Amino acid sequence: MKHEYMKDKFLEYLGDIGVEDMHDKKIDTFLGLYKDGFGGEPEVIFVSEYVTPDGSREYSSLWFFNEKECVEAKDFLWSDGIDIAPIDGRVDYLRMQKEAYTYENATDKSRLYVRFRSDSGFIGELRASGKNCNYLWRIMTGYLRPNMKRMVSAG
Amino acid sequence: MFEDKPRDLEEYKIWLKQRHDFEISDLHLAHYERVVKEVRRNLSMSQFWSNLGKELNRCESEYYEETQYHLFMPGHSPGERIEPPDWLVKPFDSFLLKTFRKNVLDNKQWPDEPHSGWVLPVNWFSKISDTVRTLFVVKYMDGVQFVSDRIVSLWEGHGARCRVFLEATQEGYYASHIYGSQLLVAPKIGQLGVEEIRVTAEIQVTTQLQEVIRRLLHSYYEQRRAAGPASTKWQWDHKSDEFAANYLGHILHYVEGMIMEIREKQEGYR
Repeated sequence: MKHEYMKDKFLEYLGDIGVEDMHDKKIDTFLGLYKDGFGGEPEVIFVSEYVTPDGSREYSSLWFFNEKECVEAKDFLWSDGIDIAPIDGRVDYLRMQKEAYTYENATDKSRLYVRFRSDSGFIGELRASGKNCNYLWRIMTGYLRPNMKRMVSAG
Repeated sequence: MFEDKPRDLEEYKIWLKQRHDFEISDLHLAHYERVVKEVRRNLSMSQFWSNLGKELNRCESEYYEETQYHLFMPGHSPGERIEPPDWLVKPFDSFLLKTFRKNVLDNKQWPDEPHSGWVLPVNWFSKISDTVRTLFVVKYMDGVQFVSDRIVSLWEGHGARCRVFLEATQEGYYASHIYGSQLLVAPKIGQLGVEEIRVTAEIQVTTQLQEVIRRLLHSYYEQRRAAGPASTKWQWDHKSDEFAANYLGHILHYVEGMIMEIREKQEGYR
């Protein structure tokens, strides 16, 4: 399938986490929206997902990150809207929860949850299962943690 | 701590935090929208909904054959395809307002919990039944029961647990409400893990005259609900908008009954 905006590294990521081929086109559409509509270029993409008790995987949000901002397409398989929020030096809250996961060492049972807040008021929730936990970990350590606001001491 | 009732949504959110330790945030909004959109999607793509379209056409044909009058608006002739309406989702603000009414404004047990229990984020989907709803409009009063029975039969045939209420309120509201629930799995708010949530969808069936009144007065009703109970009973306040609106609902229902009476007499003459 020909993609207009999808980079090889994004396709590699999607393949690694088992996102079905049929969703590529929708993701490519969002990449195009971000680039053509807002002049944005993601450095990484992330698909937030969770596993139900019967073992099926549900995809919720599509995320883009670069050094300045994050983009979320909620319910991306069914909706067309996006939210954009600044993150460069503006993350003022970060929360992480994990289950059966150690750094870069994911199994099928691994689960990772990250929540963050930008001082613009934007709140983001990212969920990952299995191998996707490694990618979420890298986003947390590469884009969210480094952008936490520094406390300035008086005097 | 609030001893007096919160007077508006902002005070209500503070009360929720102080009394129940729930801070309503964008997380709740996102969770709510995810859940209701999934319910709407599941319903719209379900076999039940697909079969309902065919069932409606059967209803129209049978009703016409029996009465020589059309069941649905506009005057569909037998064979002309009738499509089910779209499902609508209640906006989060309206949903939160409804919890405010149940917990505070209409709570006769205040400051204790209402008879049916507090409505909180941990249980609010099971306590608010119309987050996803749709409306069928029929021409005549007897069409309400006729269509409701067929919808219930079909929905239960597809595995739903249904409850039906023929609503007739003091405020002049007349309609059939059919509730069917579905279980879905959603991520927990603000934390790892998923949970099962039972969400109820509502199908309303009403007459064309009642539907006209609803459209005209819907935004008025929303404002009144947000304001809470009035100091004077509307039945004695002839200058209030409620007086005219509510009695109009009753009058129209009476007129619809008279129309049925005349129609049945005409059928007797045939």
